[in-house]
Amino acid sequence: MKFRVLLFWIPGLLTLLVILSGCTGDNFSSALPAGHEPVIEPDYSGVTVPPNIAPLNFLILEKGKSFRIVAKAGDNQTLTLTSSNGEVRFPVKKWKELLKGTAGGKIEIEIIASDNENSSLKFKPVQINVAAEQIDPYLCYRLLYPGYRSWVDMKIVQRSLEDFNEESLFENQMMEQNCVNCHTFRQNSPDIFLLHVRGSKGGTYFYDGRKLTRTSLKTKEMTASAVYPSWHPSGRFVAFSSNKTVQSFHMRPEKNIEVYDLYSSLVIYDLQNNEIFACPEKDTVKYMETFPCWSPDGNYLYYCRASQVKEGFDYLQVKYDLVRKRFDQASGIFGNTEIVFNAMSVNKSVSLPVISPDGKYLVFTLHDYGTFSIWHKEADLYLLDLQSGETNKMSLNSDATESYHSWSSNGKWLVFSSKRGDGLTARPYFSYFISPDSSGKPFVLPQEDPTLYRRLEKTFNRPELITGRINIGPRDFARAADANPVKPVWTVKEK
Amino acid sequence: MKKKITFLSAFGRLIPENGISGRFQSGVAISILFILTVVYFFFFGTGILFFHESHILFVFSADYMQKFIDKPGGLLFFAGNFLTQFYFSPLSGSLIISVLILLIFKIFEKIAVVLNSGDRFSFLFGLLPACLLLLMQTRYDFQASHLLGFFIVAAWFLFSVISSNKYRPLIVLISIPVLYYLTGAFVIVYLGLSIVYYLLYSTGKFRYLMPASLVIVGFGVFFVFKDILFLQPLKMLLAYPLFLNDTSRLTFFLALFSSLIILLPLFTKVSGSVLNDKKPGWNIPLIAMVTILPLTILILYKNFDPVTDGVMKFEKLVFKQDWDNIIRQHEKSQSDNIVEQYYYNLALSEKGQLCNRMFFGRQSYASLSLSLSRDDEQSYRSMYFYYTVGLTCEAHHLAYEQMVQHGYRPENIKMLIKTELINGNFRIAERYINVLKKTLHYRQWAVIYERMLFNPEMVKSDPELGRKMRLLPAEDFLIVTEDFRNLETMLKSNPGNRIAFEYKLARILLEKDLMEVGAEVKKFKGLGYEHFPRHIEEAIVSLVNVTKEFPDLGGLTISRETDQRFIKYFSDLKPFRGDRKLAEKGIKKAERNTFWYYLQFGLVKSDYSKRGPVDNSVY
Repeated sequence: MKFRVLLFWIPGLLTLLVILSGCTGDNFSSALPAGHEPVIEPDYSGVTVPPNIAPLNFLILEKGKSFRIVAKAGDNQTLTLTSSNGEVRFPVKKWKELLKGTAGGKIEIEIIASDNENSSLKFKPVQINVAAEQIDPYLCYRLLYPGYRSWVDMKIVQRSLEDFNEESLFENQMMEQNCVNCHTFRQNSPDIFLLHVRGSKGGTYFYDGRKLTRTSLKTKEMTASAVYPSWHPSGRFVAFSSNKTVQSFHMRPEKNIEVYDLYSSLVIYDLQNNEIFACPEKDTVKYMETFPCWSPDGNYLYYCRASQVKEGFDYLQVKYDLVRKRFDQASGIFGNTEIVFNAMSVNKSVSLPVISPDGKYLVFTLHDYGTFSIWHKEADLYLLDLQSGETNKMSLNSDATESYHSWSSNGKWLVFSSKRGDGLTARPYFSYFISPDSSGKPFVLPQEDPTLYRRLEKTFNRPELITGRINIGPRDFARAADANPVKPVWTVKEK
Repeated sequence: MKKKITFLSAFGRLIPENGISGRFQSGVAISILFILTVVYFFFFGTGILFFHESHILFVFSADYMQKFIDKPGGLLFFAGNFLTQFYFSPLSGSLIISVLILLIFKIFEKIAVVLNSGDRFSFLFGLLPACLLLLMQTRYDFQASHLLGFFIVAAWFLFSVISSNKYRPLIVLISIPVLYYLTGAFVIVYLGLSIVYYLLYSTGKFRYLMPASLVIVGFGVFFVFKDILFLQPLKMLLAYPLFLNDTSRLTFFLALFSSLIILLPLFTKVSGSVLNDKKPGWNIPLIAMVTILPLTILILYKNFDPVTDGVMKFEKLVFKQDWDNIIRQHEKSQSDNIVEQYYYNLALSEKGQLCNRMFFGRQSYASLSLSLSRDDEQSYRSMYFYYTVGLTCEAHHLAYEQMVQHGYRPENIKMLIKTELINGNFRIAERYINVLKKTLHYRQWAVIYERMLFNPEMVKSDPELGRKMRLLPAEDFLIVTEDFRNLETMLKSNPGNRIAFEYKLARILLEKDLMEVGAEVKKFKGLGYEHFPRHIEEAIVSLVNVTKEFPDLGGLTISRETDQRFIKYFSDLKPFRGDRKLAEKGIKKAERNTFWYYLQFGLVKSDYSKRGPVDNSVY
């Protein structure tokens, strides 16, 4: 009997205690105006987000023992939360409801901080712009430690931008811990892509929507492995550069690592005929060519080039220009080289050219010298208007490194790597592309746990937007690795 | 007449009148085993405890735990790391190992009793695995997770044989996936043990049904884990964390030990049914005790490696930055080990005494003992050289590589914090400090450095970090493989770096290059020296003795005391009349602590640590 009484009363008393502990005298209603916006992390104040973005969870960096957060959007859409530790996590379902019908509008986030005694502060609302255009629903990136030579764990991840679902596309423990890099999609398609695996399971793995094929692109005519791929829009060709790359380490704290090429040249892989051929250079001057990028119509190959370095060269003097060559898709023959952006004339160096899907704009990374912009603090993104030839530094830049970038399939969003958080680890930032001289304030990839970036030592490498979920995973790569690699034939194209 | 008490008579009193009972013998053996384990690890195995503790960093955080949950056996490793953090203290470390070994002893003894080997043999079947585990524990690559793994397997097997629950077979089968997830490859030992047990001890339908079911469930779980639940390669699913390293001899010992455990039911069957009847007069427990325990002690004694133990002790002092003790100990022991000599030079350098005292210790590897290789095996040691001379970025580089390769370790994360603070990367330093704050033994250390975050002035005024900041190169350069070239470049960039300068001079002394010493001595005054370090003076005197003329001393002079010592050194050599071997042995100790003695008798050994230039071209 006594036991039964206890069984009834103990949960009852506990419930009452929980209810009472919540009634700590709500003084949110009597809050005084703080006169400024709250400091939140990540900084979402004034950013422009797509209408299909995942909840923008954040951390409130203001004093307070409890917080009330009211997110308002459209007509009468509100979402109210309370937080005792400043961590704000919006439920995905409710967030999606909040965003319904806000395309082209705004979200206002009102925060009141209370010290649980008698005072509370109401901050000016955080304004978030919601663009009319959606962003591609998935982001694919490589996750690895951002330093030096060693690695153990390395993976390529696909992350839904509409919620927090995350899946591995590739995990290197399934492939004898080898390095993986250069995941590249044909026009943001999750069904046609490739990536490189190095070492014992080495090869370039091509996925065509049905089958994953391991291919060994290194022929005896090539002096180094193929890297930095770019898919021709037809899907028939992929341009690579073949680079001999080395790295060194700086001894002053301002710089960390120096990665540079000793030589590099362009090659084209013809998937249809399983052939590989060079992109010939008629100039008598010997160049290093790298970072190929096809124009969306497939008629031009853009790339970066610098004069071939000689023994004992000064790495600070290696400057790459942006050039292009006309390409005849039927014959596979290239035309003459044209300089598109003469970086040397402004004593700078270009890397990572990427053209918008409509073919009108080209975004590249500009830095003081060399080719490996991710280790250059001064590296910034520039936009070249391919119609007018005008080049402008983009407003999305920060004082830290901005490096790898890619366009969304609709050309309205740009994702780029930035080290603005801590100077070491790159995070994917998104910016709304409004016009050549205007882009929305960028925002970092939202995370379910808003404190994640504080703790995460790994870097997000090569963020690529894709139009859907990739339907293969690490086990498929492990299986494909067991097959003998397909070996292309080296051919020489007529001039 | 007063009866004289002898050792034997005293021992005799301990033995019950009706002979030595099994329980009594078990108690004595347990006590001996416990004392033996505690004493060994407290007095002789501190190097092993230190090695293990310094190679893991247990962090009380969900992020840390997350690193272990993605594979079967990960949680066992996690639990092993939890225990290993207590190896920080030799007392708690030796107690943990002792208690685990004793528990394993008792469990196996109990299993043997249950499996009907009787009191006589059960003792043997408890003592043998315990002693084998004790011996394996003295290896540097035997982890706490190994002990825990065998403990869990044995405990679960004991439960599965003593349980009288009618659903016992079902519970055993259901437990397989859980046991596999928790202990990883140790489940194979459990499955093997259970299969042998059911085949030999079970009757009726279970005799073959259970082994078949265990095989089916085992394979089924394996394929579910492999193809659905865990993204792990086959080898990891079959071996981790029982076999961690293919090339280690430990793998062989573990395989052998696992096989013995699996065959335990066979041994108990044989001993229970055959030997018990055939040799009823034998006191098996006593025989086991007086043979296995002394044999264990003998193997412990034989396997003790004083060289590695010495290196561990030095390493511990380095981690504590107890430079005086390192200097004292090396000068006392004069070890021939390159790592100890390297740490000795490092300690002297940290105390500004390198060129003043380096020949008070042994220098048998020439300049190779000034800096070690930067490869993965040595980089956790060699990073200190770069930190000491002011090449902070290289120290950071090596600490970072260590972290990536091996995860957090107390020393790599401490080095990362210090170098990030020196380099002004406060947000990154904060990340590492937050990790260290969630540890048991390094929290206080982290709190001290936490105060320096976002406060460059405080970093500058810190005695250690401030000093290192002043040693930094003023201009950037790229590090190369040869450290003498790095020091040259460093000195061009920061000519006031006395630590780097003394390292450079130390190399020249160790290479016996008197002419080079003569070319460098003019720089001392400009670097703020009021007099030459002792060994530099000795080298100058030697040089003058050869060339008969003084080099440019840059305004400093040679002390009269050094002149007199030189005269005495040579007068003391005279009685040996050119007999090199006799002179080497006969010369007074005080005169051995000189550059002159090194110049005359110093032999340079080959190096094991430098295997060739570091290949930087990995892309």
